[in-house]
Amino acid sequence: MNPETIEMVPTSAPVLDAQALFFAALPEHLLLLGIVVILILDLVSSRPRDPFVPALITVIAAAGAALWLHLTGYSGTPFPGQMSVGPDALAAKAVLLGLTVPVLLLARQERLDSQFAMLLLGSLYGIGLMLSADSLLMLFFGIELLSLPLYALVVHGLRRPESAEAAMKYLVLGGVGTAVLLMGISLTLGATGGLSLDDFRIAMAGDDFLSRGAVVLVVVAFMLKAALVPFHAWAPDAYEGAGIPVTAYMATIVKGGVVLALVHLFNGAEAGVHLVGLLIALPLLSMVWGNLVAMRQQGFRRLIAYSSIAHAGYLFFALLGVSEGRFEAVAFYVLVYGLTNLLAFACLPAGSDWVRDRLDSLKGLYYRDPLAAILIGVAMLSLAGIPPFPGFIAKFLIFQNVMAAGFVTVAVVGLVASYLGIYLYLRVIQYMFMSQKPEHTVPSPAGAYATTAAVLSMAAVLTLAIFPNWILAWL
Amino acid sequence: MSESLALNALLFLPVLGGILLLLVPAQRADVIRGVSMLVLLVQLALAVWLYLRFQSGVSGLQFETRLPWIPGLGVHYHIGLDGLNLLLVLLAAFLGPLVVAGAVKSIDRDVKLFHAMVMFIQFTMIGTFLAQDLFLFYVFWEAMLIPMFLIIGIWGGERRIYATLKFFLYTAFGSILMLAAVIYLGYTVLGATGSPSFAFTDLYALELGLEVQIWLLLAFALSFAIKVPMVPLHTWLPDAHVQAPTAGSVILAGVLLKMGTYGFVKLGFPLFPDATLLATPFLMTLAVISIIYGAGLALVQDDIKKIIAYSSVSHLGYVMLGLVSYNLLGVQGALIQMVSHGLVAGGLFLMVGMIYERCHSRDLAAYGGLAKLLPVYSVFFLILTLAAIGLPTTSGFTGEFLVLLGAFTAAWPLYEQGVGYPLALAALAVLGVVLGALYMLRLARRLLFGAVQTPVAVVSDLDLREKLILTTLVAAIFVLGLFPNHFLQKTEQAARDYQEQMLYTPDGEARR
Amino acid sequence: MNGLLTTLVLLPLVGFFLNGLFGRRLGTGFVNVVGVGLPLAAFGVAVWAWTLLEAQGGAPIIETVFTWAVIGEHAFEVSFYLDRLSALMALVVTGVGAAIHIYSIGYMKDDASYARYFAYLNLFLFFMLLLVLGRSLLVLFVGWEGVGLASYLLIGFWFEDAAKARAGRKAFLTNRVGDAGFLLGMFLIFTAVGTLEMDLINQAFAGGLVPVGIATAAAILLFIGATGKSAQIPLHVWLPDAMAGPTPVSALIHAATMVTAGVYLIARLSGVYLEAPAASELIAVIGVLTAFLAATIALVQTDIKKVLAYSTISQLGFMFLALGVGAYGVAVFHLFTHAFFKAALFLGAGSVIHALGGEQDIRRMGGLRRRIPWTFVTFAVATAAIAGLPPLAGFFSKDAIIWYALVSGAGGAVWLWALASVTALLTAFYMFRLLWLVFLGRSRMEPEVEHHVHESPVSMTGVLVILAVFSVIAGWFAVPDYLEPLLPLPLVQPALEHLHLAQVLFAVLLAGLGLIGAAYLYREGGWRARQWQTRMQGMHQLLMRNYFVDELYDRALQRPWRWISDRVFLRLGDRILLDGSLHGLAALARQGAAWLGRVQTGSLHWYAWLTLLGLVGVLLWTWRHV
Repeated sequence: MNPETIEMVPTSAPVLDAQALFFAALPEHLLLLGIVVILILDLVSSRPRDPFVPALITVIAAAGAALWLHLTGYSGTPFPGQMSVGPDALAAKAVLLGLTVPVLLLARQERLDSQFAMLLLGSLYGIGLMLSADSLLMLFFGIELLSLPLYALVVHGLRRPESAEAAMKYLVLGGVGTAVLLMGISLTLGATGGLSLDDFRIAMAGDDFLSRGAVVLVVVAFMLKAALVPFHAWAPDAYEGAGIPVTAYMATIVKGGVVLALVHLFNGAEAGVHLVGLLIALPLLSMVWGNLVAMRQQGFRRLIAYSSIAHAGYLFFALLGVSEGRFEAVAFYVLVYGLTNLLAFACLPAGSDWVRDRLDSLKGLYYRDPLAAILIGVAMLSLAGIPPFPGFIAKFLIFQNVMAAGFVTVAVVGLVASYLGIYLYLRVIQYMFMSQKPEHTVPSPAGAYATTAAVLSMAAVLTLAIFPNWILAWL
Repeated sequence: MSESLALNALLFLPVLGGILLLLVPAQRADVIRGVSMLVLLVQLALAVWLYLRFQSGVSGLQFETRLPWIPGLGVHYHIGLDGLNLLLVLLAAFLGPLVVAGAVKSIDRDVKLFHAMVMFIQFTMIGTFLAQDLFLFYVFWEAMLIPMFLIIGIWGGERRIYATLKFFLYTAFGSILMLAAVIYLGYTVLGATGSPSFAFTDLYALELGLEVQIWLLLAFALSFAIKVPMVPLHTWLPDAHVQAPTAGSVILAGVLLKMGTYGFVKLGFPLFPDATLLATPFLMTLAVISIIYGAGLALVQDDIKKIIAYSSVSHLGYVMLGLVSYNLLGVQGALIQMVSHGLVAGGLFLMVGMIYERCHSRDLAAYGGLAKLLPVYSVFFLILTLAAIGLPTTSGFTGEFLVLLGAFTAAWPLYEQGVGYPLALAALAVLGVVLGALYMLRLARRLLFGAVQTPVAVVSDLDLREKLILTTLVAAIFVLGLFPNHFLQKTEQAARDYQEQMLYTPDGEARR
Repeated sequence: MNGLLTTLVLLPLVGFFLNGLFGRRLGTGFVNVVGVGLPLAAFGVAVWAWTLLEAQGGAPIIETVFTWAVIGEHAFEVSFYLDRLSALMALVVTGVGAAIHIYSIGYMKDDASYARYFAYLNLFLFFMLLLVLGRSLLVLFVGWEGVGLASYLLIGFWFEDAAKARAGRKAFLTNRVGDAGFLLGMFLIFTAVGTLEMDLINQAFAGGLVPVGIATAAAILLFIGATGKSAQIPLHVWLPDAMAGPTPVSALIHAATMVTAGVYLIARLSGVYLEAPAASELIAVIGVLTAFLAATIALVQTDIKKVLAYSTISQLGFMFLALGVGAYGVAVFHLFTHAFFKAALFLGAGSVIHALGGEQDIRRMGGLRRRIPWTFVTFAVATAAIAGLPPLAGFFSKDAIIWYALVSGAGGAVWLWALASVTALLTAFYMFRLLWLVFLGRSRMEPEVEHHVHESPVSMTGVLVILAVFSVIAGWFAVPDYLEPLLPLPLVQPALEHLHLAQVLFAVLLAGLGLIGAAYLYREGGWRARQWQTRMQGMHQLLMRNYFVDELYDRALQRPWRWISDRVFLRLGDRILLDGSLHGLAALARQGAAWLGRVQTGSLHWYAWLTLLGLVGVLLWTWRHV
């Protein structure tokens, strides 16, 4: 192809609209501000300071900003062709930033230092960019900005030697992902001569060698980030290696952000015929794989890792479905899935990181700490998609969306695959309620911050269970 | 108006009860029992009142409540009473207090959680019966698994984990396919009417192609048939029953299994009438097989609970037979038989529990001659046995007689048209009464008669509490046996409408 | 006078509740007053009702109690129906019933469960009256099952003995088989004529509205029910075992009343049977065969009650023979007379057993004539009556049956007559054999038994005398003529009209022969009998063991069913096929999980390879046929 056709930026030099620049990226700005504040606080004080309060304020403020903008129905385009925000993007940001609050609480419960806070806020910034990206490049920046701090977060504090190794794996495979994405982007460029998302959608519609390759590569990159089989290998080890707050963060917000970004990328476009097979096969594979392998795990984090692989499958299923209602389905799912995961993590019995991770330490939990056991139980049932818990409605939305697109058989198979998951969640409940209290009882219940996180999440979960409409109407 | 309020109260009382229980300190077992008892008695009172207020001979729902729940999906909180669920709600409310009373001795640990679970299951079961919106129905239907899972798993016997997982996974598999069908129906309505809805009435109105009907019926039927349970989907039942604590077995046999038959008569069949009519030979055959197979298995068990568990399979076969006769007698009989089985099997399980509390054995071979040792116990046990056999003047007879008569009268004209199998099946079902007597009398003889023999030396006869429980049950059994008419009048219109739905298209032409 | 029939039915029920609930606490006196007084009262009411009936010339009295169920256009009502037939039955039931209650006072006085006994007995009376007076088949069926229950409870009255309990269970189950037939017959009639009121059913069938095929089918199905209750082939097996119950029970339930319910049922529904000649023929055949075979078995029995049991089966066979040839009135006539002399015989036997402290084996009796004279006299009278010696009751009724077996226009046949006559001869023979072995000849009793022999109290002998008197005079009531308007007698084949006198003489001759034969074989210590026995060992075994029917049923029905249930249903079906496949799937899932889990080696290289593999695969897949 001849270079003339290649244009990195639109020829009509955009007039930077200051107002849009301020409002459209308000959440991101706030995150940045937070980072700066924490950094300064860290520099000015001799001894390390607890960045919890500023971080929390930042996140809440950012979430609030996103929510507010969404409610005002704001949409703007600070960088035409590069970045724009619409209601969906804002809603997504609000959801993900909101989910970060319990994460912070968990982190505080463990050990929260300024590095951690800054890294976290940094990667949240990346998520923000992803969700409001208008071009593949911006999207790419977003993803990288999201991922790079994560590598650090995994090793952060080096709890165990595994952590380093885990981070290594994550880094390398993440690198592969980056490479694949870049290749996909360049192919898109080659196929359509542009890098805007519209160009990508043109590629999706296209049926030639290049477009197909481009689309598939991009999608695969996202699958890798979201840990779909067979691109999931890094996840169990990384999840296990990281500290519990980080695992929670990766399992809920990062995964959710990635999928929402992909939805944003598809933005109403239906999956082309050559993509459909992929979007049927790999999610199904992930559901079966994740659910089956999770049954045998002895560590809580690995269990969550595999279950999150299965859930990534459900989420990707949504891309099969009709475009209208897709974002609502995914966003609702991300919210519920995130909340329930965080709920579970928040209720894990206190103790050394390693003890907490072992499922055995959950044995007879009900008899030591009934509340925690019941909350974890709720989380598990919700993850299993058993009504009346919101996980059911989330699942319902996704599969309804898929069926509405006419993939009835696929949906049925998917549901059966999700059935495989029930056992692994029941197993946790069985451990907590139906096995007698082990001799070495670890009495001390989770600390104040974790409890707060738990209560917050539980409240949200209950609200979602009884009045799912509040959220659905808002999304 | 006030009735529909009362109906909502009836439904949500257990929730209130659960919240109340949260406030009671866990070690105050007596208070917990008292509160639960009180709540369930109020619920029973409401149920009776509503039963009396219920208008006979009126089609459709009564005491209806319909509020939007998830408008986006067209889901409503929609409940109401009709002839089909009236008796079942009454039954559930009637057994509730008995369950609590029966658990006073047998449940000695985690009393609080247990009663919370009883409240929970009471809520979900009655909700399942009352729901008039498929989504809501499914939520209750599925949520019911949770308390039962815990009841069996926490207070159950040696192999409780296996049993409770088997129960949960078995049932959940049916439900997952039903969920697929639910979703499918949901957007079919959307396609048909332009607005999403899960209201039963809208779903009845759908005119689905035969093939679609068949697939959807399969999905629903699997789920319901597992719950009933119909052979060959019954193997979860004996394990669940044997391992469950007495209270669990009573709830299971008393009400839970009826959710399956109710599902069939309320949803499975009338939603897909053409497919059902097509499948009727198959369904009849399965029903009769269940009758005979269950009776056979009950004969060769040595675990008393297993005998009763398998007898449930047999007795619910009669219900199914009545439902697929599409004949007023048969359907009415089936509705009565559901309640009757709830009372009889519930009572038998309670009595097994009572003897188990005394002797800690369910092995039939370990017993003998209780009639000598525990005369009062034996009298009650004998009455329940005879009710299970379907001896006239007991509820069992009312149910079985009407079902069989219905099946026969429905089969005869077909026979005259040269279609012989329904008649043959009906006749086989009648032979079922012999087999029924065979295993129940075996149980009675081994347990009550013969030389006196018990696993533990000294055994005390029933105390006042137990006498009260059983007297209530037996009274109900005889009322239903001697004066079923009052109940039948309440349900007749619903039975007629069901028959109409099955045999005629909305515009009144015969389906077959 | 309204409510009379209801009162009649409910009186014994009250007795049941009073005795059942309070009897044990309030003691014997209370139990007697209630348990005996109420049946007597019931008898009084029955008589009263009967007089009312006669006062209005036999026009039936109908009394509706309540509506059991209304379903669609069908109403199932509980109502009572008193016509001459049911009145006669009610009189017999309450009369003989009351007598036997009185007798029981003496017989059961030492029993621990005295109150329970009378409670059961009253319960039986209640259900029996329900059966007799019920207007609809449904009510009759309720009574039908109810008497079955009472019989079950009373056979297993001494339940500590597992064998007795088992006998009760056997009775119940055998009857259940019959009941299945009954139910089907009832259903068939319901579908055919849309009602269960028996008078309406008779009208409908008499109107010839119902095709013969259905009539026959219904008739046969109901007859199956009757064979169960009335111990006819092939469901006769339970009655001999039923002798496990207290002897008065055997007298009341298993001789006088309950076992005749089948006869009553068919007489009640004669309208149906008149329309179903084929069924009637079957009944006649079954009846005469039962009569004959049971009689042959009775020849060799050594248990005094077993002899009487088989004789009961045999006499019931006679009744069914009569029904089969359309002589319904005659059948009821024999039912009527039989009630008295068979009750007398059983109670006599009871008195003997009572006197001998429980001994039932006639080989260890003999010579009781002088020791218990009252019992002897009454027993002898009853024996003569059943043997058919004129002018005693049995003579008239049985003679009439044999006569109609020959000459009835509705299926009379020579071979029926011949077999019936032979049976009559056998009857006379085994009854006199019994009389001889028990009362005459030399004593074969164990010394200490002999020492305690004593005549029974008046409460027992008095009843014996009453029944003996009726055994004499019962035949003088021309029951068939009395029932003629209800149950018209069949036409007599004119060609045979003139033989009546000859037949009568012949019958007397047969009875006489029986007597002489028995006397010849069993006098002088009965060495001739023993000779015969040794000469025909095989035959003797066959008869002793009731033609091995029990063994046959056990091998042909019970064991196979158990085997199927155990091996096919339980082991193969539930354990291997169903649970097996489930566990298989579970194992498969576990295996798969293990297998997939192995992918997670932890080696980064391998992960990278996996990822690249996936990538390449996906690309190739996408690029297939571009």
